[in-house]
Amino acid sequence: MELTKKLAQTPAPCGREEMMRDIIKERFARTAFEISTDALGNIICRKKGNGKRIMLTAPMDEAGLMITYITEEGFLRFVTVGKIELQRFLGGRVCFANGTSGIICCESEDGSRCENDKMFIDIGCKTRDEAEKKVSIGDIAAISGQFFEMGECISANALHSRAVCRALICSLEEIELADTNNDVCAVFTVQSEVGHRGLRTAAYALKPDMLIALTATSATDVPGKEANNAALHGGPIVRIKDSSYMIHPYAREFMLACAQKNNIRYAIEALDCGDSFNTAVGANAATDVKGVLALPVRYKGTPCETVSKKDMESFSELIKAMLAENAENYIK
Amino acid sequence: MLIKELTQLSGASGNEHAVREYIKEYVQKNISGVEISTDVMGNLICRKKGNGKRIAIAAHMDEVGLIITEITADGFLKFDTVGGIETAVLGGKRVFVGENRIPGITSAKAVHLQTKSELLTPLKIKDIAIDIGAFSKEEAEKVVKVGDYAVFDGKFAELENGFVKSKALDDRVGCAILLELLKEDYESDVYFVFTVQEEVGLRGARCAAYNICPDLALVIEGTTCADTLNEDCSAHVTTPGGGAVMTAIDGAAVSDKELFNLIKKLAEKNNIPLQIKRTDRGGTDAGAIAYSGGGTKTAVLAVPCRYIHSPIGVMHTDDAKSVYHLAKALLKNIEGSEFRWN
Repeated sequence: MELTKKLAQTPAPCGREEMMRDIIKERFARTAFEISTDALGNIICRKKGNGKRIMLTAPMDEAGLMITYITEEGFLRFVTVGKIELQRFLGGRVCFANGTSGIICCESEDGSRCENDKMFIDIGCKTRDEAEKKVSIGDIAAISGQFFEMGECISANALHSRAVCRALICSLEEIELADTNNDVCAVFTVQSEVGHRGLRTAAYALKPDMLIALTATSATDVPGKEANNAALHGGPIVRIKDSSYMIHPYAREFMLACAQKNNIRYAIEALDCGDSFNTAVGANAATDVKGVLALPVRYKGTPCETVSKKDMESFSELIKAMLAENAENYIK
Repeated sequence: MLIKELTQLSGASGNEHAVREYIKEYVQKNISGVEISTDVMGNLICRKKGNGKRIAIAAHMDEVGLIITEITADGFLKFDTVGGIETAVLGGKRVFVGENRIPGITSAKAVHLQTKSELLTPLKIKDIAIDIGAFSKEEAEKVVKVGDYAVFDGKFAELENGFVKSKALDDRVGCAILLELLKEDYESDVYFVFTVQEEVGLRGARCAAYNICPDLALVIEGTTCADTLNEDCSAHVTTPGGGAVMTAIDGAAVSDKELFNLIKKLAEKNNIPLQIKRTDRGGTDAGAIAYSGGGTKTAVLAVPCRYIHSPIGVMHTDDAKSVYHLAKALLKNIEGSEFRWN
């Protein structure tokens, strides 16, 4: 829980993930993993093996707000980096890398017109000169949400990436490396919010035999949503398809076998909508054997993304099982 | 700088050879110690071999333009746009068509004849044709064929106070800056890449970056301003005369933070005016280079160009000089700096 909290409270706006990177690198500094950082800032944790190269990825970043203008009165204008529905973050707090805090505000009092040009950030400065001492144009702020436990759940900002990172970190820490002859590449990726750009270059560089992208999916077991299989407390979710991706049969067999052999409860989802993960990886022609494993998250894209503690555990269990399972038996 | 000479050449995306030949010849005649090559896409690569890290500095040769899609029975040329051009600006413009630069005019219905709804809706491509003064299809076909490119006839001229106007400032100004930078010597192994097909999706740069595999890349561009008749300064994207522009994040790429900060410091140290681009809109070759192969650290420096992607643009020559000096400062100083290479 401590780790989840720490990750959730570390700002890592898209493209400016350095604080998160430092935490994760530090975490693996004294382990058997070879740690490296590539040109874009992805962290690669490698355990070389004689078997198949299996790559697991978790996104480090969250959407951010880039400052584009500072008014004479010391307010900040901004644009969003990555997808944010600003209306959901009205009155929310943002933080900059140097510790400066601010509040997301809208010109219209009822928040009815939350377009970029009607939005501003108040950092408590009276003049442009004052504000410019704390913030520069081009700085990118992250949204900071409260971290709290409620019942069987945890709620915080950006858990759709942080809870996934936490699961991958814990799995790597807990796995006995001797258990596997897989050539393991675990990658904490940058710039996922603008189209999985870090994943794209890392996949190209590592050229895995199998790529499993760890991600989050919107849980639909809440009032007003049409329920599909993505429910909280139901375990991790094997994504069979989305609008740009179809799971590779080897990856499917591998993931399902890992879950079944270890009695890990899971669900399956097939989405109409989706994400650009597959297009991104395909663009650099890295590998064909791809799968997506997702953690169900309620209220995705709000300051209070909510996950189940039980799901986080079983998500980790399944990752561990995949790291340990000999991938050679599945990749023909 | 060869801004005038370069902007007047025809080079819509996919048809950059006039620009490529001009640059190639200029380098062969005037600059020694350059390895010149052209890749399959048509990118022109001028390498100034050095013993240090591999740096790519890129500017695109192509410009937005038109391509002829049909010749009508009465001798008019139907066309499509090449690259992002707002069709509303396309009525009544002078263009040059084809290799022989046949002069033409983009037609539009006279205001007297337009219906109320026509007056209220922006011009559409289907309502415009190029008139080259031909009576019939046969006549037109003697000088023009389907598939020919057309570019705007946007002559270069000096305006007041150091401003200039021309077509194709985006990105011949970048090419002109690269040619000046080529005259210097560097410790790094510097690839000056004149790219093709930027305006239709960063296609040349993608392949060039994949082949060169640079340790670092700098893209030199012309960029938008949005400062005209707009009293709300917060909506201005860049300020002409306000110095070189650097991009933090745009639609295509995220600049490397360390490189971004290093360039900021160099600008301060060398008293070079620098402004940060005040939008996330638009994209440059950096979007292709940064994410090609295993990834590259990139930054973008640009000259503010008003009315970009229209028949004529306006820029300030001091801004081009600022970009030149800043890029030079980076290329000359990066080897000895604390910059963390990968």
